Amino acid sequence: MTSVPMTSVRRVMLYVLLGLYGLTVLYPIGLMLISSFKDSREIFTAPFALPQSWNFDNYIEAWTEGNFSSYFLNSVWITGVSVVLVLVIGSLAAYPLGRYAFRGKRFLSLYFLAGLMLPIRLGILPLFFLMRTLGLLNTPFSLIAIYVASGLPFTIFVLSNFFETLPRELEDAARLDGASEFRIYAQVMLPLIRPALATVAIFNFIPWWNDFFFPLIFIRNEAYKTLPLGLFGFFGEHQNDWGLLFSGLTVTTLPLLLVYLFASKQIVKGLTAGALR
Amino acid sequence: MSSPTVPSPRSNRLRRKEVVSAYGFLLPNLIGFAIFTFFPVIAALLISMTDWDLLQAPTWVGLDNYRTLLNDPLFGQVLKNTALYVLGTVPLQMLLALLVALALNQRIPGQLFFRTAYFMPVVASTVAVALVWRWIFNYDFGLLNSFLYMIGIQDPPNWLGSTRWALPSIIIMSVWQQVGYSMVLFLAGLQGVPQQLYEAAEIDGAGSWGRFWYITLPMLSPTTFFILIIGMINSFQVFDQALIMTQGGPANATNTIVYHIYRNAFQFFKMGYASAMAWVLFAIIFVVTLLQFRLQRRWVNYD
Repeated sequence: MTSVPMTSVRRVMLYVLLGLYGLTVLYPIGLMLISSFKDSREIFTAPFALPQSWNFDNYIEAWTEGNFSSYFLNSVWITGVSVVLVLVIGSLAAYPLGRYAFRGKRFLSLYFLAGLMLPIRLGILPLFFLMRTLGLLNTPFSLIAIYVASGLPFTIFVLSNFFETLPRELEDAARLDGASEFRIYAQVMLPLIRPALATVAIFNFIPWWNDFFFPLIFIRNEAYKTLPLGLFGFFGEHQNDWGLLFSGLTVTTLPLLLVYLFASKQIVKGLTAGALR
Repeated sequence: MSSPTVPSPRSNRLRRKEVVSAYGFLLPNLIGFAIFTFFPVIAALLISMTDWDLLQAPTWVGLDNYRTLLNDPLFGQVLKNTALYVLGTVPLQMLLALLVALALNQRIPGQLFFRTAYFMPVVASTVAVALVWRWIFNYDFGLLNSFLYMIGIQDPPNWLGSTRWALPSIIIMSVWQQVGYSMVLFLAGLQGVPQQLYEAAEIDGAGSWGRFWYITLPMLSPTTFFILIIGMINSFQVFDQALIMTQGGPANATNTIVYHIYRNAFQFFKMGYASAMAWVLFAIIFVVTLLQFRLQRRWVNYD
């Protein structure tokens, strides 16, 4: 497909189509950004225009009265802690699966792989009950637990493939120096797979930041709500104040869009690492 | 995960040490993973055979919940809605993603820009995006209808407010959000197709359609298969859009299985009944996935 020289007519057509599709994709996102600077009247009278002035009133109101500062911090630390935990726990499992030969290894690999396809939402009722029994309901720990558990299969899958590629000599040399198995893992091997750790971290971060389902069911307390859940409640209260709503939508969406712009390579890598094997 | 199991000069003592530490490393995972993923799915099966409102102790009712499900016309409609959603969303987003990927694969200037833009909806929060689309679809002042008026359509549909258009609206929004994901995978797949194949085909006189049909599509089939499987598993569990854009309405036109489970469990407190639905959905996903793996031998090309 690549070697055929394109005629200029075809080229123009192609760009027109790509541009039209780009517009369809970016328009709703751009609309959200632009409208967040308008008041409701301006949104209805001039929906397609740029705002008359870039005023941050909506943001200030959402951030303070709308409680978005709290939602934002919760999202940051809950997803942050989950990412750190999934890297620590996941790499612990990935290490032997990638490097040791032992009985049961194949079965365990399959066990974790099966988790990749398990529709975890379908266990929501027992999970709800489990969290209630453990006293985790209505605490951020319910979310952290479910995120880490659901992120493990992918994490283990990618990291063990990476561990496998590291040379044997490093490990043997460390053993001769009398290093314990855990020290070999933590001080020799783990630093070597840093790029893979970054890929996995970013790739897990996205769905957890955006998750709405589990907070909706586990979290009632206003103080522990994350952005998507907080946004949902905010929408219920301010149905008609679209300018204010759009600023809330932007606060929820923009951080990830920025992460994406800076780390799109990592994200694409994570995506294809999970798929093309 | 194939492994370099070449324990040649390594001593037995070392091997034993490896086994012990292997399980030491794995233990936290095995326990945590089992408790929070496999256990709940299995436990749902037990709960589905009880009558339970969370307040009183559950009572055993055997298969009653499943029998009730069979005779519940609402559940029938919910199944149908979900099936239509899957059948609408998955093929549409795959087709669009393939077209976009093919266009971008022609090494045109600006490829990176387009790819970055097209992927953006994938990282955007579904709640936020669903709310934006709710506004776009609004009958009175939504952007879509403003646009339709502008090009001369006098009576545009009441998108989210009509039983006929509500589900298609949700499908449109979902396709919009998911195309970027499949596109990136298709692009990676396309870049993995060896260039020599195309050159050889060109020498044999194949046109661009022939090259697409006999080289690109078959070489891409493992990617296509992966996207199909993941897309179906995820689409069967559609929930956020149904809750945020329509609350399952109007008249249950967008009520999906997971939304119905959510309502029965957390609004009507019918835990047993909701669990039975969860298991029906689990069975559907399992059978469909298994079927796909069976059928793939006929069309997926691994070499």
